[in-house]
Amino acid sequence: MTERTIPTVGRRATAAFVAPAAGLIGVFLIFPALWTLYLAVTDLRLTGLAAVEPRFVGLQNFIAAVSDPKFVNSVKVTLLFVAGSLVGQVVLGFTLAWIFRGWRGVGRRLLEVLAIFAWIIPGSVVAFLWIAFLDGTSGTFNALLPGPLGDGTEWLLSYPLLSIVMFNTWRGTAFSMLLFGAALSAVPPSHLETARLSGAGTWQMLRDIVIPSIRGHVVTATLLIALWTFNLFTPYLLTRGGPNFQTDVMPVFIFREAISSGRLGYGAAISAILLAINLLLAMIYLRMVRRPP
Amino acid sequence: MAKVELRRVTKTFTGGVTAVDGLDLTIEEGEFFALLGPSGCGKTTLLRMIAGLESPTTGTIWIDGTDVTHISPGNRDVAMVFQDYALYPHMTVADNISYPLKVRKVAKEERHQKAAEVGASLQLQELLDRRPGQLSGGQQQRVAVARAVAYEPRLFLFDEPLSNLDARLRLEARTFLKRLQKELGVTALYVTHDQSEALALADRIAVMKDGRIMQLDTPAAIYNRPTSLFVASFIGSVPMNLLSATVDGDLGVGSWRLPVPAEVRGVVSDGQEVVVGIRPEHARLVDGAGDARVTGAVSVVELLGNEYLVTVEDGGRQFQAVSDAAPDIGDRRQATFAADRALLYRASDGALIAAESPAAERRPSTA
Amino acid sequence: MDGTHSRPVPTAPWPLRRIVSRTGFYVLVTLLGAFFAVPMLWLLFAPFDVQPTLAAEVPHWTLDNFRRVLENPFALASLRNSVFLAVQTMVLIVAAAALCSYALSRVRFPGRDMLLYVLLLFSAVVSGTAAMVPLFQLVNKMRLIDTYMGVVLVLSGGLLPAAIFILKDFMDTLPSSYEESAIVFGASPVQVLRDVVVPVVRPGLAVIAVWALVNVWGDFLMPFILLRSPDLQPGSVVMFNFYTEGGQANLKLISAFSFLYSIPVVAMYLFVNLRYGFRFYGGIKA
Repeated sequence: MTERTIPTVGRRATAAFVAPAAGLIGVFLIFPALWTLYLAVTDLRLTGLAAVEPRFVGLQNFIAAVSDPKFVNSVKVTLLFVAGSLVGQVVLGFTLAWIFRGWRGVGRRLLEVLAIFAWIIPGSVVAFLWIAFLDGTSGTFNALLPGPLGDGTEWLLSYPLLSIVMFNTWRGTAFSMLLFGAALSAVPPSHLETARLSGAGTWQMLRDIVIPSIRGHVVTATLLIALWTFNLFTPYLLTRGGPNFQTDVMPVFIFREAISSGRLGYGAAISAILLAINLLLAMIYLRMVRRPP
Repeated sequence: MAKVELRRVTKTFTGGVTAVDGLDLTIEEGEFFALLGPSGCGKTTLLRMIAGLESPTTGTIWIDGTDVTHISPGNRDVAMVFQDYALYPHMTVADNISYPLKVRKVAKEERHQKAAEVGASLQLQELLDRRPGQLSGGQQQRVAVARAVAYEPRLFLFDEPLSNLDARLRLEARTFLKRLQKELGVTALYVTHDQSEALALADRIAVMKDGRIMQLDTPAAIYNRPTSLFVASFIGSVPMNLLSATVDGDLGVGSWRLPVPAEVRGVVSDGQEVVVGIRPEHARLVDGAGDARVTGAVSVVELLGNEYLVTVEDGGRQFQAVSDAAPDIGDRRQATFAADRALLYRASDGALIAAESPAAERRPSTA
Repeated sequence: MDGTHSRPVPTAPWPLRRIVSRTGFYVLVTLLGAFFAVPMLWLLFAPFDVQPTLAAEVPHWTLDNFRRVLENPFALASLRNSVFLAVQTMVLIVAAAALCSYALSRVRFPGRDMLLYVLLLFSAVVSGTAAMVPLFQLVNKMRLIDTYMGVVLVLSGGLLPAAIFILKDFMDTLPSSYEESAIVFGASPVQVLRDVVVPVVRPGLAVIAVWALVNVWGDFLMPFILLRSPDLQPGSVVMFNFYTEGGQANLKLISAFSFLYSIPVVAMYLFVNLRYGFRFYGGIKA
């Protein structure tokens, strides 16, 4: 009811308060998003004539992308990577949150902390940790695997996509663990107790009470993880897109085409596509969040 | 010690809401003045405008003969006590009390001295080193008041300062505030929705509704002679009996016949629709015959402490009166009252019918 | 409930079933624990090993590897660079977000909450990765390639919406009566902010500061594409360089370096967790 101005400062100072943040966001977040669209329709390059005098080329970059087998491969790889990570992170995250219910011991805290460490240790370090872990000769992973499976397999060379999916599951599970943890603690205990008293087993409770309650959170987690994973550059640190483009996710593809090879216009077009995918996911998320469960 | 004047003050918010509507008001020096009314009547907005936290859309505000309408809050020499006390959680009680002095850049020694003094006068000396979070509601309230006192303003503004206290504490705090204000002699403006608080504390009360003052008078006058139905129903711990009646020689309220008060006999005419108001405290339950005015079956008996509040019903109409003894539910009893205790209100606009008012409509009284 | 249709009272079967489910529980917990812990073991063992390999083995203890790091000019410098970068960005973000969220918390205008929410989502959509091309070109045009300024500005722009979103929540819990009472006592805007506002929202500022620091410390892509000079590279890039440069990887250096490089972030997390707890209360809210 009452309109409030900042009582501390006047109208003009209010603008001054908002200005720095607004400026930074406007220039380094909003403007680049829009500029992508412009760059995508030019043939701008980092060096050479096209760097100084870029020409308008319409949808040429987009057409080139769609016909570029490497691009198609990149999209395919990315989709697989996202799908695999999603399944892994959601299942593991939920499992952790579920077993943490009502468990207050030292073991729980330890497990939780370990999962979070995996999430917060800097990317370059975890990348190398997994390079060491998956190493064919001395990697600990092979040491733990039985028989022929663990006999000198160079995971990053022989099963690169699987390796980065495992890596990313390990890396990002903590997020969904925290998310589901909060969601589960919001399920009224009385619902669960009533079910238990009626003789429901754990699986039944999960199916009939818990999952419907947290359906919204599952969707949220799925969309956010997907959004995140689509934009993840970390696989580059493990495999640099190889071997032979088998782990060439879109962020790596863009980097290579635009920054390394200097084809800025083309890279912008791919970026625009990635932005569109992101936008789509965000829209779906908004839709789901608006609609009551 | 300050005299406050409001001249034609109006406040309209964006969206068209008029919180205060063309108000004129004078508050005398040293007065304890209450702004009383239901939520949304504009009393808090008015207080905030006097503090300077809101600006009037039109009109002017004067303190001690100076137009302060456009002077910033910090320069009006006014202290305000908020409903939530606004005690700074990270400062000790002593620092909270002395904060106004810190703003004035008073030296640390002197500040602490003063805080101790003021704190002691409000029985806070034991608590000076505590944080607000460690205090009870009543203690927090006193700290908020102490802070305002330490500022030594010419005007105190209170925004429902007691409404967060529980009932018992509220009564104690009320007495304490009244004594404090008398001792300091500083003009105080007090906003509340609690009519008993206003009646107990104030030298004068302005009853407000929808941004306007309905009646401005001393507590006794407002209690004994509310000049509108709104004020009549708002004032009084026990609601006034308000009965719709038609003038027909006397007053017909269903099967009850009530006498027309002497004062207004010449002013009312047969056929006029009126509302009769009698406070339950002025009506007693009687036994047997007598000056019976209202008869009915006892439906509710409530103990008020020293007497009973009895509700009698007849033909769907209810009437409340007091009694020393509790009657049985269902008994047929009679209640009587002195005719001149009754107040007559015009049914059309709720205004009090009085000897000096002609048939024409009268504006609610303002002082 | 009908008395004739009673449930079977469990007798002997129950204890066994409980034992199995309990065992299953512990097995699951151990597996999960191992899953997370094992890849990290290397980080715990190798830095202290006289002859570290890629395997995680119990070391022959030594602190010699750390000496190597200290002697390596790039290694130490990069850690210092990471600190510069993280601290500068943190300061900028906290300052800009504090001012902005305070203003947004106190001033109401139609669409305010929607705007913030849209901005938040926008910053997730327009990630550094998705916008690397225009950001690179922008920084290029501003002649800020190979400067910290460029990286700081870009990272701030990306992190600010979330920072403001979080901080505004903290600001909202500060009742406006606090500031109003100070104003009526004659406090100037600066006094009000300094004496009343900042002390009360300090926890919020701390959260933002730590979150910004952690995000910048580990960021790889922006420094990687915006910085050229070897002596400007922060830890994230130098770490990558260490294990991708040609020849035999110097595991003594890499192990000790990764340990040092990881410590600040891990320490900060443990500190915040112990002090404030680390949960998403109620999940991500719309």
